[in-house]
Amino acid sequence: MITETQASTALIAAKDLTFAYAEEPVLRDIFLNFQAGEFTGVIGPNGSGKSTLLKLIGGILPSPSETVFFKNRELSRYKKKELAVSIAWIPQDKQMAFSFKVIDIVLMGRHPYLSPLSFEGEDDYRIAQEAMKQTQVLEFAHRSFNEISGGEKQRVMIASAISQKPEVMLLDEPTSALDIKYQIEILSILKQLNEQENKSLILAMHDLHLASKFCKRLVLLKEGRVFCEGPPAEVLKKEILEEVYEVKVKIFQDDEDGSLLVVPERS
Amino acid sequence: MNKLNLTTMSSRKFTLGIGPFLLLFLATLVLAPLIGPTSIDIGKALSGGLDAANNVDADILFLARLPRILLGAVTGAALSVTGAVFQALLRNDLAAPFTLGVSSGASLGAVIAISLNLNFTILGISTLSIAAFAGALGTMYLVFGLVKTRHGDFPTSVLLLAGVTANFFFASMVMFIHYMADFTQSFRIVRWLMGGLDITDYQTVWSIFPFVILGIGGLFFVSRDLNLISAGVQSAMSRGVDVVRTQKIGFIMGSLITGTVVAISGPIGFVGLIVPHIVRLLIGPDLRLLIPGSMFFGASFLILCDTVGRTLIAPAEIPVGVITAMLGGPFFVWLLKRQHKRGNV
Repeated sequence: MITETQASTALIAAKDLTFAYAEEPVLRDIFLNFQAGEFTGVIGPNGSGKSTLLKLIGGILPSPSETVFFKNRELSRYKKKELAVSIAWIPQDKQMAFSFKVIDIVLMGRHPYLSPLSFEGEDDYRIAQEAMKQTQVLEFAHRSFNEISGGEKQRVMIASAISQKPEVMLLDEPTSALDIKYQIEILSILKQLNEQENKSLILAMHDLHLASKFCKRLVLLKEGRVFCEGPPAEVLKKEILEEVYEVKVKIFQDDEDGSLLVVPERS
Repeated sequence: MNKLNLTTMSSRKFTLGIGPFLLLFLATLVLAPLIGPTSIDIGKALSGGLDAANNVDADILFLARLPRILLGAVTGAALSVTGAVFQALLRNDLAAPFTLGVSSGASLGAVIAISLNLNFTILGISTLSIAAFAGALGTMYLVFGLVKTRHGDFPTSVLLLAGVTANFFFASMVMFIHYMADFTQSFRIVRWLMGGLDITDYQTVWSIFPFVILGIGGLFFVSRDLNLISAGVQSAMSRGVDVVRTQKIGFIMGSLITGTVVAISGPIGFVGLIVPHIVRLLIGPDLRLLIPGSMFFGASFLILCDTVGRTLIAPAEIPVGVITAMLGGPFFVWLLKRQHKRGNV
């Protein structure tokens, strides 16, 4: 149970959040707090509501009244640009219909800071340039976004979110469909943002091993409900995962960093 | 490693992007009136007064050709900017006032106004224009209302299909009204449906000019919001864009300027499809450049098409809508094929 005092210190709080696209709720009775500076992974089987939860927290989807709060203020009470300088959200789908250049995409993160009809100024370019250095995409600043690889696209999107200068970054499956090298690259960048700049990160993730390796805290969803939450070692347990994923698993531990490897048992 | 050159999007870059299109437009505006089946003496045209009996050259230049060219400019600019904005809002370069059924909706509105003999003006605006605007806006609501999903997106392939269906449906309604009309109305309807810039005067041009400028200005005002939407609706939301407001402004202003020019020039197809596409290939998808670029290039494009139309088989004339359709049909097929290859449709 969440007490009032705990809720008031949280950066983001979901209180009794239930949400449905149609009739059938995708999320039910969610109570969750996210503290400043946390690195949280949201895990769970396909269709358990990970993406939807991120979109509600990020204000992409309209949440029912009095259910989602940022700094104790309901999300709908923020102006759109006000919320955008606090929370950035990075989508999973990165298809783009038009061939914007990488620099154009990164500069889009400056939108909430600009008034209508104004062009980006020196400051905006400096901030975008630093963000691109940080995610190592500066060398293809002038290439078309549609022509770069999946891992590069993800780094560009992160650079765009960085130039938005938010306190919280929400990432929907940032490592899916990427090779291991790029997965580690992306997560290392995020780790750096979390540790050095104290950004709060909330990631929807599929890969349980990467989740245990990088996240400080995991939230496990099943059929729209929070099944359990806590440090990775407390969430990634055999009996919990077998119930949630409905498959027999074995869990191995990496001796070096203590990360957990979950593999299905042969049936 | 190649040197990085992060020049800021300054007025310099803006001028470099738009400049060539502005120059093209000015050149077209100066040269097109000199071309025509009757050659005119420009010196003589400019020297004398506007007395038609004494100065035939001036008469042709200032009373026959120039208003027509100005109407072409306003019409081409309006349709092209609308196309650019619709394409951004729907993230698909097949979207245009014509392919979404907006043009034919405006036509239906105008034909209804003609058949009901609504010949008066309200606050200086002709009922024909109001009916065309209502038709354009009504079509937008109809097509989008049919296609909109629960999550508020518009699956583009379905949307285009609905647009094309609306096109056929309204065309048959127009034919029905035409069939029921009496002889005088029938003549007016046929004349209007042929589309064209040939019957016009300065007063007509000035009566639609403020609406088109207002509409284009309104769209330019939200051009950066449109940029973000064209890169992804949900990403745009997370960057602080008021998506619903921007969509409303885009669709209403687009319908306003489309309805306004269609009421006068009749249905002229494909301009809104071709022009933004060419401009985007030349200067990129940034709406802050694409809107003014499409405005100038669209104006020049329609003037040139009409110049070809009135000189090619002179003294007879080909309506400008026929020229744009002959260029636009194959262009649309090419675009469709290209999109199909990329897997977007």
